[in-house]
Amino acid sequence: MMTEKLSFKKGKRGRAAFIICNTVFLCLLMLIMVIPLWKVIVDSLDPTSVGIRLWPKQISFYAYKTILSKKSLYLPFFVSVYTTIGATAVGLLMTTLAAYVILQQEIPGRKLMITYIMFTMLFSGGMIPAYLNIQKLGLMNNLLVIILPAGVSTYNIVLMRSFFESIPSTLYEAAELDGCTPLRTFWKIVLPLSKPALASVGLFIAVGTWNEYMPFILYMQDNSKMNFQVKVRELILQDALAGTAISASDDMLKSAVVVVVVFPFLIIYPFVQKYFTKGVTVGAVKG
Amino acid sequence: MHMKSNKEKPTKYVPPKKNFKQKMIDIYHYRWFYLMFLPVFLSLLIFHYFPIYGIKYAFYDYTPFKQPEWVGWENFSYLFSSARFWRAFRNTIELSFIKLVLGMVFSVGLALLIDEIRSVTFRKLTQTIVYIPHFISWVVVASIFTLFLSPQSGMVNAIITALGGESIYFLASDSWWRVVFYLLNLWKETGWGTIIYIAALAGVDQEMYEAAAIDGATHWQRVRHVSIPAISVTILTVFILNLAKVLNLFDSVFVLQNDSVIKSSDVIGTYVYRMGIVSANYGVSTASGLFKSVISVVLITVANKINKKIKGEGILG
Amino acid sequence: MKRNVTKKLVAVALASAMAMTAAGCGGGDDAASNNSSTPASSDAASTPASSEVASSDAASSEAPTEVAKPDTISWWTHDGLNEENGSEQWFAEFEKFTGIHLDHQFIPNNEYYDKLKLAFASHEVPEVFDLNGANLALYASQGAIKDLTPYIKASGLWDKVDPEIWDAIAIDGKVYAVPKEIPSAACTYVRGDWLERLNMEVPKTYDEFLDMIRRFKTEIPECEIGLTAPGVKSPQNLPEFYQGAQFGFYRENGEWKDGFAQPNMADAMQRMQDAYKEGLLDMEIITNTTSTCRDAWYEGKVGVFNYWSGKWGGTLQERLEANNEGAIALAINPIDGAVYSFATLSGLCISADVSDEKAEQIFKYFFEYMHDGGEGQLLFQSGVEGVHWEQDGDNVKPLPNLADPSAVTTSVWITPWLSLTPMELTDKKVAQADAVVNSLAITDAVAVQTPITPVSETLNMITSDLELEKADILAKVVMGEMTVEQGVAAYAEVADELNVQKVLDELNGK
Repeated sequence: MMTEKLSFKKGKRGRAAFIICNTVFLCLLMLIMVIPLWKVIVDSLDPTSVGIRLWPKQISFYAYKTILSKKSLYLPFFVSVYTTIGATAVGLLMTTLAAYVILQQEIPGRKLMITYIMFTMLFSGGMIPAYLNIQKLGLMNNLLVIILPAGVSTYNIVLMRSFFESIPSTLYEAAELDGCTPLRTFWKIVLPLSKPALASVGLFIAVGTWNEYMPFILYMQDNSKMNFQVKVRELILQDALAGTAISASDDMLKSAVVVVVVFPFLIIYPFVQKYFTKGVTVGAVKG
Repeated sequence: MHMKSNKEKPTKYVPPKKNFKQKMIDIYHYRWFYLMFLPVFLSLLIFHYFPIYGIKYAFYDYTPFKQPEWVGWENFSYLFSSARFWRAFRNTIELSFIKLVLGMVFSVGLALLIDEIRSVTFRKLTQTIVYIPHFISWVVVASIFTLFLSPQSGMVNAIITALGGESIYFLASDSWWRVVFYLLNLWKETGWGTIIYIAALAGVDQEMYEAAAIDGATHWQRVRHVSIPAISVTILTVFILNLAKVLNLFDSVFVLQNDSVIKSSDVIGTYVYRMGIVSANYGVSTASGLFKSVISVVLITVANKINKKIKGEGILG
Repeated sequence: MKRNVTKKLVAVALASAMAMTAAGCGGGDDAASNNSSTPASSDAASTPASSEVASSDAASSEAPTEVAKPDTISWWTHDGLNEENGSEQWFAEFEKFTGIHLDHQFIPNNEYYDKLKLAFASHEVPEVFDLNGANLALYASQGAIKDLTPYIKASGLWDKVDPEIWDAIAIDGKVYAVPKEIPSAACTYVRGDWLERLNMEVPKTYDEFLDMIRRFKTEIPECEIGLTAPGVKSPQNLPEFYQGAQFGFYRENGEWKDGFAQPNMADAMQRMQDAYKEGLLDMEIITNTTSTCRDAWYEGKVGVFNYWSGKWGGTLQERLEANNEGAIALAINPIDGAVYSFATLSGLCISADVSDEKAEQIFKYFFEYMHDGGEGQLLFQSGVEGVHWEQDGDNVKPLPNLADPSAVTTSVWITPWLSLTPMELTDKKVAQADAVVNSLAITDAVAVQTPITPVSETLNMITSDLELEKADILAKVVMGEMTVEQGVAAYAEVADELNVQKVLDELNGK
């Protein structure tokens, strides 16, 4: 990284002005990103909140208490956690394997494999055939339907492969000379070096799975297998909350639900971000 | 996350011609790799390829209540003769492309600005905050912003009226709706879009900056002549991958749509949804899905050709 | 369509002790009000509540051969009880009473019809499910559901139920669905306390009605919104402006007509446009949802709001008053020309995939049991004793809702005061709050039944496009972006392009 100090010496003034402007601009941008969410938090706490008000006039945890008292939201939450973790693990494994295979320039049939993957990005049979397919496979009402196909996407494989390219190929070759099978090389060398990529692609998959609702509604039959997002949709789109609480407005409850549904990522994100930053460093060192 | 930078642009790999025996030896040599490909192969086969046979219903009269009946191109001729289908098609192209281009320009711009930050803490903070909106699903985004943009109680209009302006009914106005649509997409995805460019920027060889500095390049010139070219391959790759999804526009439009902005907001996704749900006409809805796929294939093929010219290879290799 | 179901879905009730000082409400209609709202006017001998075998006396005597009892019945629902508020206990109780296992699945309301159609496409249909207006017609026309008329007639249910109901739900003279309950109707609520403050009478004409909103807006500082409604395309939600005009197809003197093309629709558009322009209508009327409207009403900033009568009348009052001391949600009689209407009927259907034999069994042991005026009906109305209700003198006293103890469970599948057949058990009366009774009195007296729209092949093809165009034109006219004349002309063009005439010809059997 370049080291550069803020300096107002002649000739550096333009640069200094830029740094200040940039900082101010980014701060403004962050405000724009955050205000709507902040407003949601305020609305979830303040039953009287309206319009322009950005600071709660009074604070009441009534909405959160109502949500926490809804035992029916607990199980969906765990279903969400379970499927998200499962889908992320399975998706990452498949994505990395496929990306690693495609990285092999000389493997016979490489083009075919690439086409095989690309084609799925463009064509799909649509909702009905997909449904009939799952039914024929006997996977109805089985959470594997959510977990198995979730992470495998062309986009993720492309990202993963690009990352693998940045790992010096000498490392693989050395391992191969040591008599490692490709599987072992993959497990012992490629994966450990790919933590940053795993973190990023993993987060992609996790966010996608967490926000999923349609497959649950289509393929799950037991109420106990619905995820959190399905419940949240019910709460937001329908009036399921209406009438439940006299002292909290529906808006307040909805806001609280929004906060709860985003919350897990706000918790997880800082931990994952560590790897994001590392990913950046790995690239830099190598470059 | 690191995308290839310009410097290591590979020359196109041309495999030597081999005889059958040699090929078999090669295949044996790579046996482990085939095993490694197996999970993805099966997953895609089961969950993507099996259902693709359903494309045939584009040529059937198919409703939930009766046996599908072959009708040839009838579904297509119905679609192509419908003014609303073409309106939806035009809207899809327009909304998607503008969204795509705006999204990319802003993401690249923001990535460059974030790359300029020298304080690690500030940089981390910025990154964290701009990523957050991505975690929120569209249903939730719509419910937040419907309140936010309300002409009576919304914050935006509260500011406008406080400044002496007149309250605007953003979501029910044809002209404003699109603006809101683009802005919400920017709000939600710009930050997240930067991830890939920031990683690519970090991968740029420092020596190139130093060399440029020695040559007396100003900071802006370094950005212009080193940074941007260095991530151009990444930009192109992302562009092509997104191109494949251009016609899939649905969620974001669906949740923001209302009766008075249909003309400017109806897209193929919402059209198909109505066909499938209200009329339960699976034949027509599959036909429009197929049409969409064909257009995507054309777009991707063209883009990939261009990509090959520039980069020397397609996006996957 | 969705909205109607949604409202019913809210199976949460109000505290029973509640008073509404609705002065001018109801008028002389009180007496005529309660064909449906007083549950227990029984002169028939009461059936023992705990009889082990489910036999509806009226029906079994008429059935020529003994119908075998089925082991299981599969049933999909999207409203009523769910796991949170004790559906498991309910199904156990049902099985205990009848010996029949209900294989039940709850589908989220928004996705119910999607999933049902998928089930049909994949031939894994539940045996029993409910359908509302347009869907009922569609499924019936496709031969997907059983014609229940013979069963209904054989069971005696035909004679026990108001013939108007059968008439409204019948398609070409055949009944394909048995309503769970009489549909709700909507009436207009105004702020009674504001009327008093301004020393005004309840409006009787359109001019008085507008004048009331005008004075609310100008003279009451809290009144931010004159009249609110979720969208402008439902005559039910804006009866004062529609005044009998129809958004969709309707039947008059045996002939189907396109409501949107009638001159009275143009008048309705003009009224809405003028009122919107003057700021009497909610500025956000186009993007409102029912819940935003209700929230605004609860907050106390709305003057006029048309909504369901009955249970909701109570809720509107209760929650308004909770935020605004002394506020009154006053249900008013329709002004001159306004028409209050019932929700489109919906009802339980039996899939056509079910054998005739099984269908007969289902009808006897499920449908008849639900409307037996005794044990079965009580189970479907009030739920499980000790879980959803307890005996309190001659009354059924609802217990706190399992999911939300601050409310009580007044109904599980059937709203007691909307039951199709009268409750015959004399010790199972249900007490009602005044606000419930008052609004019900009005709608029971004046609301009209909406018959189901039948389907035609062409209509099925164009319906989504047509709805969309109408909604678009109407929204533009109301917001003043189009004049009424332009709107009428635009619609004529659309109707021509989509061949609405052909739909009418098909509907009228030409």
